[in-house]
Amino acid sequence: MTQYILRRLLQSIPLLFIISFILFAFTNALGDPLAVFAESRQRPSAAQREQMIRRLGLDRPLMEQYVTWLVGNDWQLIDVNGDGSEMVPGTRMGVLRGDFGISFVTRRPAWTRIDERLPATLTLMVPSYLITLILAIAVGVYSSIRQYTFVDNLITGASFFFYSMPIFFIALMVIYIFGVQFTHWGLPALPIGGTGDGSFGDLLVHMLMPVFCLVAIQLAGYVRFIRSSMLEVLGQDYVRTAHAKGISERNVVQRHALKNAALPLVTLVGLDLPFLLAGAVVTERIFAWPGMGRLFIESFERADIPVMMAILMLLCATVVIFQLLTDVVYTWFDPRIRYR
Amino acid sequence: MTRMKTALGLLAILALTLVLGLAPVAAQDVPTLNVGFAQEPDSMNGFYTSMAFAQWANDLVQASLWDVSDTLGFVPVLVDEVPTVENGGISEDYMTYTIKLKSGLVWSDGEPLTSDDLVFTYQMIQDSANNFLQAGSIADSLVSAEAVDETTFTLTFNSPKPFAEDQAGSPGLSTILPAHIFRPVYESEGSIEFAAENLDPTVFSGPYVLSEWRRGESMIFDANPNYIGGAPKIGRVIIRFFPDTDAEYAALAAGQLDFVPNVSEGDIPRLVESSPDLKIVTVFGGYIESLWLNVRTEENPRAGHPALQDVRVRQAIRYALDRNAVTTELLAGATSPTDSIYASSPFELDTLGVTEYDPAAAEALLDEAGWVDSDGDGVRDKDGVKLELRYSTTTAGWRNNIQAVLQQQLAAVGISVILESYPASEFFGAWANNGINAVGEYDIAQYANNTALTNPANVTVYEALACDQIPSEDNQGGQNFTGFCNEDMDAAAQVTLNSLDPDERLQAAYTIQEIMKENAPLINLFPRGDNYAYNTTRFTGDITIGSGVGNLWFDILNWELSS
Repeated sequence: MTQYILRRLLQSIPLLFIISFILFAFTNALGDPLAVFAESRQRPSAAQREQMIRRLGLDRPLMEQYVTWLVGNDWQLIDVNGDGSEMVPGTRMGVLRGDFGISFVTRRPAWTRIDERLPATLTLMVPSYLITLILAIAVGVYSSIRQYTFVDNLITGASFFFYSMPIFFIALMVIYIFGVQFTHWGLPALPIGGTGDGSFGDLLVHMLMPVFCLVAIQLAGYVRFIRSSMLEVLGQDYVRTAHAKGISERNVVQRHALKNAALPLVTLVGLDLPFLLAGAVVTERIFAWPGMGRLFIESFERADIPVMMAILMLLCATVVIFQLLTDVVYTWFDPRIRYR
Repeated sequence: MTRMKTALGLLAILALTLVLGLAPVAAQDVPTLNVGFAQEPDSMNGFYTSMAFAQWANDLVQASLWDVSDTLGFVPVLVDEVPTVENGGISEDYMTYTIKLKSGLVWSDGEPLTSDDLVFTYQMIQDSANNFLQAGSIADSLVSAEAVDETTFTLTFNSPKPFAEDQAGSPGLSTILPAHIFRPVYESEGSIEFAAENLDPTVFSGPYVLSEWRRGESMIFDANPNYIGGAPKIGRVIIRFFPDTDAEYAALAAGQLDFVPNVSEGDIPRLVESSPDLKIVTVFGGYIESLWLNVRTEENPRAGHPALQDVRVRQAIRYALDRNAVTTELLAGATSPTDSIYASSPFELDTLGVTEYDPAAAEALLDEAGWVDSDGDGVRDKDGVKLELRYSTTTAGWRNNIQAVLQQQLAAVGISVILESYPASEFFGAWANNGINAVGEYDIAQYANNTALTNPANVTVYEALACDQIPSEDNQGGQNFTGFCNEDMDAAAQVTLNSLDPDERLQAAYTIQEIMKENAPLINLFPRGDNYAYNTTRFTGDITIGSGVGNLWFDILNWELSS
């Protein structure tokens, strides 16, 4: 097992290199990070812009920029005026030495920006994911053992209703009803946007609307998934055998059916978990939640390549690790699985 | 049974926290103004940002030598009087300024604010190692900055500088750096580019201090007890970041925000409808939205459509556009069409007039220029070339709406238009990044220029339309994306920049407007206002908001919240 894990980790190293180069090429194709100032009142002059581009190394060929991103440029001199009149030493250490570069936007290390946003994202994403999973298992199991009853049809219908709505629509409707109209009706309205004043109670209140939206939009998919894999398992011989042995309905469902039906669910969860770090782009934006999804979009809009690359590489590394963890968890759910 | 109890218990806890959370927060003893910003400032050092929101946040905490008011007058802040030739502050040759600070100025931490801080700031502007985004023009022209005594300093320039506000006042010198904080960083690192103070400022000179910055969420400002103008009546300002404008407007309508700058014209009608308490104030900010025509002739990398070389075609496009329909229907009548690059400024030529919508005149001009629909497909052509123009702009929704309307109007006179929109980083990208404007990959480009309102030197004219600024392989940083070149206009532009006679400058500005109307290198659509929305029930009386070129909060000491 240990050997297997080690081998998988070693295999992931070239994978991460290949991914990083592809992502680097894509993010660099986004355009000119200094162009967003073109319509500003106090915009930098053309000469200042050119100097900045040279300082950031954006005038170099893509391959060279990628190598600098990897290993840094602290042994090189940068010709900031383009004519050799002023040479300044490079300061970057490169990703391989733990330096993701300086954010073009704030001029602080790209990693500090992630550091600022990660807690808020997890605060929003983990509870909504847990609630989704728990509700999905409960509802999915219920509708599988009561297949085609009125309640099953109702649940199926409702879950598709939310599933087919765009998240921004749900989010804005919820804001309009519970934020704006409740005020006008004189009811206690929910606060719109942000995480509150820092107290736990206020945080919970601020989480109500975004968490509701995230659960509403995700729930249907999981419910359908669990319902169908439960139905498949419930039709198996060993379930009939269990019933025949006189085991109680609860035990059959929980110990025999659900544990087997959960195997594909583990794959799904293993694939989804890393993306909790990525945050929810639209939900975070609408609810002004200071999370990673918003950071990514804001970085995208400003072509802040170092921050985008740091976020993307964090996600890639997490995906690799969670894939490995998923495979390990398999062995617990299904003792027949062995890795060599 | 136990499970039931646990569930009930959990429910009870949840309900309790909700009730506690929803209970009104203990009455705030400090009058608090809640402001919504669509973007988070990228720096709290004015020299490192070009973002309007960052400038607004900075203006709350950093005082300037003098501000520009809503009526474009000068308002002294840290000086007793704005330097002029008459009061001896500017030398007869306009090359030396002597500026005297008020006495007894202090930073928020109690340290004295003296001429040393100003001299240090100018020295930082001069050192390119600091990599400033701003103040490049000061760096180019400043020879030296010297302290005469505690409160007096002199600036010496390499050429006459008739406009003091560009060199020392609020638009040009956006920030005064606290020397006692930045000097040690500069001495140890050789640059203040990465100084912690840029993003976690601790020392302030303005009416407020930044007490807390919750990244991605909000900034909390409290009154600065050491401010020279006295304590503001509003004790606390909270700026909250709302990247989604719909959610921001909802918070405004629900009374959770009091003041929102930067409302787009197209959003005004629904904002006004959303709550009877909201008031919109429009302040002209120096932006004029225009269609820039590609009249470049060099083949490298791409010339504009050959038809645009003919001034009659350019004029015909202007006749064919019903700009009034755009301003009334898409922009709620918040502005109106213009033909002047100085529109709404004190330098506008009133006799210039506005070209009326006249499709018949447009068709006549196109016929005269030889562009006729010879094959009956509804699109004019000449020598086998169709009159089909690529019309590009940014991805801003309100611009794309305008594109769609203008496309129909142009189609009515036989001009076919292909609509394109690009993210700003591509649209305004540099030559090296194949930026759409820089390399000329367009025929019509829609965006706004911005000009100073306090003097007639217009960057659109002396830079974005100057002959020597046409981009090419050898001049990759060129800013004249249209490729338009007119020697007379260039000469007049130099007069607006350098003449020491105000009347001569004004006449030159008039000449420029006439040349531009005649030659139509760009078709002005309308002056764009800066629109601010506020909740009238939260304020006592009306509030005065600064002009777009000055300090939004120049009058904040007089803002008062109703109890």
